[in-house]
Amino acid sequence: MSLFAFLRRRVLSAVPQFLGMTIIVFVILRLAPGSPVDYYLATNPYATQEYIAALEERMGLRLPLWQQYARWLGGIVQGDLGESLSHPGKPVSSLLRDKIRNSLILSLAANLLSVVIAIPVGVIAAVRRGSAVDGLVRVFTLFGYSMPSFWLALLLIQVFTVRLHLLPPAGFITVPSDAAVVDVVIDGVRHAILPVVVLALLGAALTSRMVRSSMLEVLGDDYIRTARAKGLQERRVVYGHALRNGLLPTVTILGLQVGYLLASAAVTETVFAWPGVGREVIQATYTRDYPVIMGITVIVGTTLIVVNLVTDVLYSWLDPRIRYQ
Amino acid sequence: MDDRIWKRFLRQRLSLAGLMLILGILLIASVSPVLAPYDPYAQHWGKEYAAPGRPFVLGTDALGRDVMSQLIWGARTSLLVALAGVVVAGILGTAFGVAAGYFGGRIDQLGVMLTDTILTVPVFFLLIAVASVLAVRSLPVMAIIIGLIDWPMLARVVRAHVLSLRERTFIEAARALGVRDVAIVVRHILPNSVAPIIVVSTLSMARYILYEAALAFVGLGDPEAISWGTLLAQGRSVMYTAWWLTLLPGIMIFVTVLGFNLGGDGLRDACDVRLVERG
Repeated sequence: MSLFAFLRRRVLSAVPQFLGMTIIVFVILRLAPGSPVDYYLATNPYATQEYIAALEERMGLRLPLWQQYARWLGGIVQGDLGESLSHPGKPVSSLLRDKIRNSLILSLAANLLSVVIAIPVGVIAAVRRGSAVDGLVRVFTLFGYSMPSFWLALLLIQVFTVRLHLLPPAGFITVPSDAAVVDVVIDGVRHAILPVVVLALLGAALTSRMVRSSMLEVLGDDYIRTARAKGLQERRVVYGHALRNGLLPTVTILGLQVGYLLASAAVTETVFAWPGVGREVIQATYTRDYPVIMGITVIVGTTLIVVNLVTDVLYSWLDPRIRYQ
Repeated sequence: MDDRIWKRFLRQRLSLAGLMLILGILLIASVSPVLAPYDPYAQHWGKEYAAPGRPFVLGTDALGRDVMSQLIWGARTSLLVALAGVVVAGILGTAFGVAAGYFGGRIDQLGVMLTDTILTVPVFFLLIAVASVLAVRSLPVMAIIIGLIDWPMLARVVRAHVLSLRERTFIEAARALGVRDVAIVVRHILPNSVAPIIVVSTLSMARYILYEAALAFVGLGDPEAISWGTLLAQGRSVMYTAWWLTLLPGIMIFVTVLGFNLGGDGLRDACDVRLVERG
């Protein structure tokens, strides 16, 4: 199968995934007890039957369920996520624009840092399989993904903010809006350090484990034995031959890691008051702002689908054998 | 599981440590009424935010409730939610995995499509969304929802396992003898799929405990329940003064999750189960 054919097939398979994901999100939130109009009624005890009916009419709640879904989906595809309930008249998409950007910054930095940690750690553990170093890595990884992200966050705040006064506890950019660009950047970076470290450590724990096992697999291959048999230095065998193939699956692992970090980001952002979508979705639950909750869940779900798509295609480009399986 | 697996499992020091942690937490959870020095709900007036010491060994919280008793009762909450979630996910995941792997064809295609789709939904975000719309956020409801959302992971592993099992000679022999599919599944496929199911379920326990704690932490847990996450959330607002409220519940969550991860990891190595399919 050519790369193009693979690409086409993979993109086509992402479409039902997207539809399925939106259906799940829609059904769960619409079938749940309570109606979106409750939100307005709670603040307006004198609402008449006519008022409620008009409201339901305007919100499209009187249509059959599948038509409501179709309308909602039609909006999503055009980038329209509906109106926020807690900020009347404000479209969800404009409400989320900055938050998506902030979450992306956090996520990119954390994923990058975690890969930078995970690859050398995983490779060393694999090369020295069974050694003390390998054991240490195993403990680090198991500790890493057993650690509740919000607890790690609180501990780091306790150390670096409460005791050492080195870093700010929460928020993103706190300098006045007319401050110099340099100051804004420095301020942003200082706020980003702790949340990035929390997420990166969690990601690194997960990823280094997988890097290790994929390296181990390659190190057992015939061509590695051949390389050793012809008398190559161990260093060249590992870094010249094994590493190239051993790191290929890391691309797919990255897809998993991005998803894993997105899930942890919701609580981590909350602890650090990082103005991203994770914190926003949790705040939206307090006001039962359904359009915002649905919008964010769909955005995160779509991100996952796209990341998986990209990593699959990238992997099959790097390793054409995949396309023929 | 046979003796060889047990021996291989017990030989690993880390796995053994995991088993000890799991047993310890199970013990605490099963005898919490006896173990807890106070009623975890009892509010001791005038004793709010008492530091660890006497008579409250691990201090009290904002309402003067004994922290140690809450930690002990919290083990129950954690384990109950996780265990119930694992049972729900276990039934669904096994059923779908076996059906897809054993019968193949259309059923398999449908099963794979379903699991792939559900796997693209971000689990924790969906949990948040569901928790926010629920009229009653009770522990059983939370557990059921976790299980309902998270079963595809297990289904995938079971499917892959059954696929390889189906080609084995003894299954072929049973089929040649004219044994009905249902009987083959019940007598041969299921007993031989116990290892991967237990491995995934043990690791799932760890994850579900984290889910419960995280939901409680952000205020989406069962408001009536004693939970480590709720305690930790309280501690967050008084980090500067009442350090025990952030440190202690976190340690409980961490140690419990670590136990299940160590145990699950050791079991996976001992049973030689592959969890991630390549490509």
